[in-house]
Amino acid sequence: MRRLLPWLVGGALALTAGIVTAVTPGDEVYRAPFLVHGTGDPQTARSNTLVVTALEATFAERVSVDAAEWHADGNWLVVTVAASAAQTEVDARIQLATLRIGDRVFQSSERPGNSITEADLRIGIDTVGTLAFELPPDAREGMGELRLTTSYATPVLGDVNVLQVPLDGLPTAENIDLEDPTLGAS
Amino acid sequence: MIRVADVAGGMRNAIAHASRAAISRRAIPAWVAAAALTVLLVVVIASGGLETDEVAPTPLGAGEEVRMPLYSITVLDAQLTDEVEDQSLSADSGETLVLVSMRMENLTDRPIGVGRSADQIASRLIHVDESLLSLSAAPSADSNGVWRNDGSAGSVILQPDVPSEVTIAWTAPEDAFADGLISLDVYDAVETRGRILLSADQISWQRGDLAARITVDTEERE
Repeated sequence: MRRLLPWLVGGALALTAGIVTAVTPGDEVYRAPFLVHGTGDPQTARSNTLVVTALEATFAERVSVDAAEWHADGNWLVVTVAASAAQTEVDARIQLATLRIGDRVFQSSERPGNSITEADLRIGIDTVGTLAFELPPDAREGMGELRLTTSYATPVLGDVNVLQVPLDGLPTAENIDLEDPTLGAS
Repeated sequence: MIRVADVAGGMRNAIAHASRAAISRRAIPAWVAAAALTVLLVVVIASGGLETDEVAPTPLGAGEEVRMPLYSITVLDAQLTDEVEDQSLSADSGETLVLVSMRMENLTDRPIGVGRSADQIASRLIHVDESLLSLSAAPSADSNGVWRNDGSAGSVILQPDVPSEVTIAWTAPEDAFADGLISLDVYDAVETRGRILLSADQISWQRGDLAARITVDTEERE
């Protein structure tokens, strides 16, 4: 028994070291952003930099910008949001808007050129505008998670506003004409 | 003085000793190891392990798709020109603009930019050294523009599983395309994650094998 003991202790230590290594999170976990989830109806999420409310979500077979004589067919999800700056108007813009559906992440489309990501936000006054997501034909159901931030990329240890967008049963429009963001409307 | 008979006798003894040792029971592990090594060597040679690693790109033409794990690309058309007015692009004397129109699809589950980074992914398709797309005749040519064919706004982002038609412009020496043939080299992308200096959530696509060489004859255009 006395000769066996060091082997047992050594084995146990090696096993413990293996478990600790396996469960130690990668650095993407401790650099992850703080998710600020929306509450209420309609959902509003207030973070350090951004206050945002999801007003409406609709699928569309075509989106257009009449003023630019542009349109595009596809499976579009158009989300109307009201947003304002939380503490400062300096660099207060939704620079990154993503939509998670299952494992896939979509970024709000740059194609219309007039989405709310182009608008400078004000403190205390809502800017109402749209985010258009161009999705593959099979992305029409489940829960969508809208993530908005004033950073150009997902911030490290910064706030990200999160709003849930249930996709099941959303209406589908033939065409949605996307209007420029409007300040002071809601 | 060394006698020849002594030397010959010594050699005979040594050979006899060596052959006894070679078939003795103690030599069995050595024979097993040698046999295993021989089998391994035969398998390696049979499966092409000792052949020179040559990657021959698949030669393709317009309309043929290259599908790789991370993205796919189909060249639709290519042309040489001096100016693209609506993109404010023009070539200097001795240079030409090479425009390649293509259908691209992002096969990953995150958005990627064509001429820029998107969130935490640097796709490095163009605009960088060792980019994933380059002209065979002028590999160091600068790419200087990318836009969607339908006049959409903004710098191009490819959403997961949504094909897009885009045009990429390169500036290249005029004499590189005297025969009117434009060949685009398409490299497979290898996803690497940041280490040490960059964090693991920063993803970069690096150039892998040359997957295809797509050639379009601009003189066949209507």
